[in-house]
Amino acid sequence: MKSIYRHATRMFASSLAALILLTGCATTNTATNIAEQPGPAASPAAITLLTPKAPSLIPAVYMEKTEADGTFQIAKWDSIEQLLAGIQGNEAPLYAAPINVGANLYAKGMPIQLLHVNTYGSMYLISLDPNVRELSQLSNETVYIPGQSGPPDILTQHLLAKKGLQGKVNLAYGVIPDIMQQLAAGTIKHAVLPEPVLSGFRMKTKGKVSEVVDFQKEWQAEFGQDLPQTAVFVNRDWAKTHAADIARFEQSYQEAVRQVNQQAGETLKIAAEEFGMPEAVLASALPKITLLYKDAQTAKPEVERYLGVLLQIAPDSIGGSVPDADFYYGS
Amino acid sequence: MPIFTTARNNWPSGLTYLLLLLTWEGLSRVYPPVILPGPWESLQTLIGLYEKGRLMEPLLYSFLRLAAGFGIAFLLGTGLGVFAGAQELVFKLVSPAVSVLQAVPPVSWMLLAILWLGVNGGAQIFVVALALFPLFFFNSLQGVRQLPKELLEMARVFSVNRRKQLVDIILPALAPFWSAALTVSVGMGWKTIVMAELISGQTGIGASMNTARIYLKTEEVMAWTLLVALLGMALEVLVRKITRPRERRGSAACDLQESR
Repeated sequence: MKSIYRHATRMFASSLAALILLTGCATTNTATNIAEQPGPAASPAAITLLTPKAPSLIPAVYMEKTEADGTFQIAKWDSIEQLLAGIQGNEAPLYAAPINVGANLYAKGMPIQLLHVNTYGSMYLISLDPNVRELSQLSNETVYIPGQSGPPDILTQHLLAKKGLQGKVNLAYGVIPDIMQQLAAGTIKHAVLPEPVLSGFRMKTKGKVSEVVDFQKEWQAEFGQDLPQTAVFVNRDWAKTHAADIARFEQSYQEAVRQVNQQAGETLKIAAEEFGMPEAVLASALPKITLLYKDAQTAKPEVERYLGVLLQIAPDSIGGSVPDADFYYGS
Repeated sequence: MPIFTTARNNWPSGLTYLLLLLTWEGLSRVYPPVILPGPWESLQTLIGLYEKGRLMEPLLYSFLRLAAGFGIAFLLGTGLGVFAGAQELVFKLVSPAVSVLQAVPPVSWMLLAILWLGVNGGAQIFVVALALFPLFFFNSLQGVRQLPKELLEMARVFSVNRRKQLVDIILPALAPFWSAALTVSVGMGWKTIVMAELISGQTGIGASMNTARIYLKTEEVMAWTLLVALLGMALEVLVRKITRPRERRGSAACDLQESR
């Protein structure tokens, strides 16, 4: 008798769990359907851009501030899972993301297209040893890289291979806060870091940082092109019915990039808050960041070159193949 | 009647697994594979990882780390635990410190361990050892405190030698406590290792999972998860079988009685 009770409870619990899962999924579906309806009344609602805490956030902040009230708004993502959930749940029609992540999502069948590229280069290999000026001086030394298998890792490997230093320079991996702390503590000496966090570190050490590699310059020297890093992507289904909104967004973002490059002013303060760093740090980082607006069709050759290099070293980082023409908006 | 009950005894848990699998399969059909890959796809990915030779090395690394952390925690934990159980002063000195240790979340240890030991300094082993140490400590302590005092006294009266006392009285009394600690900690340690590697490792299952997630290979994340869960369950069953042979026979007898 006792055991029957136990089994009944167990059955009940498991069916309850299944039910919760199923209804949970039903609710998300309804939400998806609502968001997908293009209805004419949808346009006054704010258009959301999901962006990471990367340089692309700075023009976005400017745009949010200067455009008519509530036309565009920003939401942030930190981990790749958040981005994925945002796309899947239709939380926003626009997403800023590293280009390889976008290509990978596209390869995985997510409905996105590249709208424009806005951040180039902005990544450096630095050393605390003032004598180190060349990559070749780092033989038998260890360079710390944020994120194994990401673009910083792949681009460093590409550079080492090009200079015939493969296997001579050791690579180790960590996350940015840990690398910064270890640099500050002096336990490690060489690292690859992106802006604007690098400027925060420069300021802390009062300029004792030796810049060994500017990835943008190296890339330009090798290919005669800029090194594309971050792009804004659009939900393809949404794009079909919102051409005017997209045109407006593109114009607005392009203008924002121009303004930030000329005189960031008030924007810097807001952006600095979003980054969680002092305004002075962000101001000093700005000259080290290459913010440049290029629409999908203009940027296409550069993006294809970049993804081609990633494909050679780590095919999985872009989903196994260089995306076709449909990846670029307006084709 | 016995057959009927036995069948029903086994059936519901099988049914639960089946229901879970079906739910998983059903949900995976609603969502794109990058959000939720199905069970079959995950299993195939796991086999694929093995065929490509990408399975065994991470697995070995994780296992070795678990073994090292587990070993350190067991030696230190039981050693100190027995000592504290025998000496009240040691207990009073050590026990609060162990309680504090137990309260600190493994994630905090992880972040600190990377700072202190560097990325390749065995931070993962350190974290597992710290996470498991209190378990062994408190269980050994309890075991020593509940030693059959009368039996030991009798042994002394009849001047049974120390070795025999240890083998026939002390160890059997401690065994259930150790067995409990071992069973709980092997599962916990296994999961902690994978988490630690995910945060800081360049090798091992956790690191492979991290690479898979960065590359949006959700099917690989799922494949590793499946493997970790199955191995965790297998480890627990294994440890229980090894450490509790007598009680197993006992509980089997109980089952027989119940079904009658």
